[in-house]
Amino acid sequence: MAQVLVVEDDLEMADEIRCELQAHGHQVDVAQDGAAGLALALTGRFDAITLDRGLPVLDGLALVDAVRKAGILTPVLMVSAFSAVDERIRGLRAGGDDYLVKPFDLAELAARVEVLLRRSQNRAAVVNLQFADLELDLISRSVRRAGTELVLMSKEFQLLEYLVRNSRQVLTKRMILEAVWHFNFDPATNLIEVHVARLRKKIDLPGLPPLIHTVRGAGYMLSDTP
Amino acid sequence: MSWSLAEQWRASSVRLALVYSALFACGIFAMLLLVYWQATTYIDHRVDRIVQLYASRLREVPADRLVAAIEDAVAHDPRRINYYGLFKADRQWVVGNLKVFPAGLKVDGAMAPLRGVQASLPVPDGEGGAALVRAMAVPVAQGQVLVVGRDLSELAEIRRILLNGLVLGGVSILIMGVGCGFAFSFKTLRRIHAMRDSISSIMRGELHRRIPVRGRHDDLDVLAGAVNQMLDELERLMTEVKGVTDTLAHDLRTPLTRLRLHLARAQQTHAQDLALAETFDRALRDIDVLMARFRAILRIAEIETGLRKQGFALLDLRVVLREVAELFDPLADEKQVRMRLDVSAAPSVEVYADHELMLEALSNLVDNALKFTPAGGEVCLRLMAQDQVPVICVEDTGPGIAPEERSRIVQRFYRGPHQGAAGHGLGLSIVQAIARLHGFNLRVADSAKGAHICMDCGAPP
Repeated sequence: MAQVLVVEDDLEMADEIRCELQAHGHQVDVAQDGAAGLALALTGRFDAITLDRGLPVLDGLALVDAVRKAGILTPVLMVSAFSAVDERIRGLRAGGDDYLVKPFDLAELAARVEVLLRRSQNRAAVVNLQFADLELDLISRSVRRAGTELVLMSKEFQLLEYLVRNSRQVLTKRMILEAVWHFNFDPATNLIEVHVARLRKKIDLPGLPPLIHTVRGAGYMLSDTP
Repeated sequence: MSWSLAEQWRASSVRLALVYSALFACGIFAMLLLVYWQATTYIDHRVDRIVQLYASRLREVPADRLVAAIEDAVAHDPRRINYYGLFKADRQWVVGNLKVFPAGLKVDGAMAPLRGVQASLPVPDGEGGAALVRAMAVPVAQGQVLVVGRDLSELAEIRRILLNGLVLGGVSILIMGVGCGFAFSFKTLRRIHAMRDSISSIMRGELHRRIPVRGRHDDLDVLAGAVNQMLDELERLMTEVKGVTDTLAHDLRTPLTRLRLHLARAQQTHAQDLALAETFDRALRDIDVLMARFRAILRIAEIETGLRKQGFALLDLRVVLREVAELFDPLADEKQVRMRLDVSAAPSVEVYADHELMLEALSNLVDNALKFTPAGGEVCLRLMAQDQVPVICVEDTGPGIAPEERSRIVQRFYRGPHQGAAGHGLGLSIVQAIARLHGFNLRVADSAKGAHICMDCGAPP
């Protein structure tokens, strides 16, 4: 169970976020303005923070900046109504770890918080990744499933690597698009679906238990339990 | 900084200087001509009067002293420019330095030109000599005829000097005028070029740039000042519009997000009631379309404010095309459409552009092409060069675009007749906004089959 701080001035929104994160089994504290949020964040007892960009008293950018200057490395998910790319860059530069633009789906927010929580636990650089009977060699860029060498294209490998690094977590299409393709815009079609489907064909060979699962209405998850 | 002679020639200052120097040269010509005319007329008159004076003096001399008087007059003419001749009634020479009676000279006391007369030499026959003489013949006592004349060579010399001055002065003034015109225009052109550079960078989105002002308060400064004021106002308006957009985005996004959250929560709560779940599903789908459309409109506004120039860098278009082809390859596969990438016609194409925006634009075009291409068809992503301008074309084998639609399709917020509810339907508007931001030209090319949408990626002027 993780401790999550939600800094959000809109009460209803804060409530929804709190419910969603609690449903994921986290303990949630809510602060309604920047100053209260900063005071809580500076205690350093949180595992992740969701932070609204536009806040009364103290702006989200100033808050995250102050937190980072205090030497606190708690991962921060910035939530903003500003979608412009320079706003995103400013948010990330100020010390945010991820940037989510309103309007968003709660599942998306929860998925991103999960990834942030995982990231803070696992920062070590590795050369090999393993999940169930799947082995990835990050240096030779080769993949084996149940001992069989698989041939993946470069983007397929990156997609699989992202899935393995965040295994057992829901990854939304948007997150995949951002992490693997570095796109921050809406592709109108089911692009990610077809990419995942293609990867699935290569990974989930007949006779082996499927690893890539579709989470309805949310995204995908790499898991060895159905 | 350099510019061609042709450009300099076109400059208004050069032409103005030329017109001025031509007018000035004409004035000088006219003045010199007047001086020349006045001077020569005066000299002619003076010569005539002198000759008449000498003649009348000699006529007053008594007949017995006339020969001596003429010899005396010849002797007292050291410059040898006066001619005297006394002839008998049969035109036989009596005395004087003029030894032959000029043929054709009437004995009526009127001045007449004589050609070819040389002092101390016999007059040949009024022809052939270099000297020009004006002379008159008058009757004197005993049927004799007195001829008095004066050499005009000196006068001709003065004429020649005046004429030379006229030509040389005029030509040198003309040359000086042209030279000065070019020199002045060089300075003016340099300022105009600096202004043009500033305006170009403002057009590329550096809205804070201003046109340089020298501080001399000349006409160019006045113009630059006025344009700068206009730019201040434009920048203020742009910032305000962006502020309004941001506020709008913020004010609408939060309630929209809330609405979606409530709906999702309600759907979860009533998951058992299938009919209700279906309604929630539809409501959520609609709200997603609404959000997507809203995001697209804001995105177009964001791109159009031109504030996104920081991300610009030199970009290899072949790499971008490859990325897009790779991204859409599985989608094409699924739709059983062949995806072809053809960059062979363009060896090395680098343009100054925003990588992500170019990806977005091409993704939209390819996505559209795939949408309208039936199974078994082909979508080709082509890069070529036309007149050294790189051109990206997305060609499909779908139903194509009717000729009357072609110009409208690239208009702002155009929505075609085939737009369904899926997606935000503003893909082409986004592509158009991106193209405009880069100074690229989006157009629908002529094609016998399918739609060919091309982007001319020439550098903005």
